Amino acid sequence: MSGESPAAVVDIRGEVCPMTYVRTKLALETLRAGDVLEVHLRGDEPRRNVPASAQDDGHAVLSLVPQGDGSYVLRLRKGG
Amino acid sequence: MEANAAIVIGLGGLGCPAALALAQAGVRQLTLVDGDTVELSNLPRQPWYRTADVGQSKARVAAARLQQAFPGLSVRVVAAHARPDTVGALMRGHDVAIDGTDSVAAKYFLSDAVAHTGVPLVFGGVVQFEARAFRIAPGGPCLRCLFGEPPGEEEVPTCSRAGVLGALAGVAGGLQARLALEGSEAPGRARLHVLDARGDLRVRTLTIQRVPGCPGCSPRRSAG
Amino acid sequence: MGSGPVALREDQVQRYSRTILLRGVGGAGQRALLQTGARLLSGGPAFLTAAAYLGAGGTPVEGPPGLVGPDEAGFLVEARDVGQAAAPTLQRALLRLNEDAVVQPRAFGSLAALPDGGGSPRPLVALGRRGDHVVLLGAGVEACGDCLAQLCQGTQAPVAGPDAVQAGALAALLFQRLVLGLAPPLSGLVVSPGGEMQVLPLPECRHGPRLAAAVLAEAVRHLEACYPEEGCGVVLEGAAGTRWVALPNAYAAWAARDPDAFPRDARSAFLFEPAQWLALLKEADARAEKLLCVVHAHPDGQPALSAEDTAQAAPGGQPLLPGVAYLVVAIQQGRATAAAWARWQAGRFVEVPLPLLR
Repeated sequence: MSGESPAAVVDIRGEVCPMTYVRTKLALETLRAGDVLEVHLRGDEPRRNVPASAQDDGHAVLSLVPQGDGSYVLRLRKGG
Repeated sequence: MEANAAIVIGLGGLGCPAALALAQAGVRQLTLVDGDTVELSNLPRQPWYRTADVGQSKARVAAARLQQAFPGLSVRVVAAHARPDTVGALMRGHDVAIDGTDSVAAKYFLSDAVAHTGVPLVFGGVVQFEARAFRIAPGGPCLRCLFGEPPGEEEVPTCSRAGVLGALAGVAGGLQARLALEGSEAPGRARLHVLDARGDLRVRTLTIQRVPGCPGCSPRRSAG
Repeated sequence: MGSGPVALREDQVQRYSRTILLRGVGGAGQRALLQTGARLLSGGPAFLTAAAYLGAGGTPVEGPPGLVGPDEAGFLVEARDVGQAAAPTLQRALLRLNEDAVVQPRAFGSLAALPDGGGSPRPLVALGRRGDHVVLLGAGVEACGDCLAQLCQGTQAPVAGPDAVQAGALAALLFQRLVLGLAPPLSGLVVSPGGEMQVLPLPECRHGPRLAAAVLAEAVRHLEACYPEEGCGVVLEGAAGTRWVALPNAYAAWAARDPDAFPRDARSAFLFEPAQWLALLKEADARAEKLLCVVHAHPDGQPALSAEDTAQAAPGGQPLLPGVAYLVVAIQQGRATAAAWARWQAGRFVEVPLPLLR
């Protein structure tokens, strides 16, 4: 698990798809290529959807860690 | 072909422009079917709806706007989703139907209803940068001839599949209306129009043949 | 982080979410849509449908001139608006649809009717007919004016018909594609009476520059005088026509300061001094002139962009100066012998030989 500190953190635990990925995508836009974005999400659909959408857009999924309370922490590395 | 009465099932990105085009063409009676309410994210591609309409019934707002633009038009509102057991009754009595729905399941039971109602239906779809339309006549070909059986429980599509350009939906809906009014084809054949709006723009027109014995469009006694 | 782009408001993130999700669009694309307006130079049901889609999508919309016609009832126009002034009617309707559609943008592109609309401000979508077919042309800043004029030939003004919704939505689509940077500089579509669409095939642009012969001669004289070094400068275009501005080649000075970053010399490379370049751009702006082309010489070389020239003009495969052409003049023994005119088209520079009159 990379100890690299994220360039930004986004909390989308209150969002439903596709707003989950809209927030994620907008956050990624503010970063430079290679930066890490940390995303806090909740729910089955976001858990499957957000990492897949990010990969589709050319970003790398570094980790997806359940937090024990139904939420997950996703770390993405901005591509490009 | 003259259409006096048309039904638009789904008043979203496809149904809004289709309804306008039908009204502009002089169709005398429009039935609008939609069980949804207006959401803010609908507005860039559903131009009947204003900011203040968020939360209101789509079918009712679209009907009111159509009436304001075309006072001579007769508009009937069905503020509920079409269902497999209601679609036949809804479609009957109209010269043509427009598929403005956004679910695969709905598109299939609409297509299936063509054979037993005798009402032609114009299929439409828009996803991201691609728009499609084709006219399903009572003799077929139908959606099953084109795409086979409906896909099973889909793998959850990625969020980017929810992306769509409003104006592209306008093109699809406008084209659907034209196919509804003008587009009868040779029996057993239909053209699928596809517009890819990326980059250099690409248009394809594919001829679809009716699949013999297709369960979707074989002649059958009209259902109850 | 310095001043970045103005962030989208929360309501905008919600409203435009489906546009933001599109690959290659994102928040940056949506901001571009919000900042480039569309001026309707003509009315009619197709243009008004285009206005509805553009406004709904966040593009500020202005116009059209004249009064609302009886065939224009639709998304933005009610039956009772017929006979009213069109522009204020549209503004009221757009304000209810989307308040972003009535703000003052940085710049305006145009939606215009063929055949005369080809000269309207870019980005431009022109709409008209050829016989019973609808014709749509989209032209970005980089599009060749001569190619566009050719495409406009033989077209007529639009006529209201059953294609108005489809045609209007296509017009909005072409405009948005240009603003989003998703379209080539020139594109066209033809719609047949049944609604079938066909892409207009576009020939490669072989048109030369709109340079006055005297201006070209002045530039060539300067380049000859700089031999054996690479002379350079620009041609500006304004209301009064074109004019040549010589600029010193600063390469040697930069090479002296930093030979590692600037390993060549003034005989094989050129550079504008940044301060002078900036001053020139400001002056051109003040005089309402635009940059037509960058000119430089290849002493004892080829009349063609070298690999270094191309890398300098389009770093990373994107033209540094969109819409600006490049003129390369080969100078042998102090005399100009041949020249080439290079324009960016479809991802690369297309070069056309330019005769040098003697």
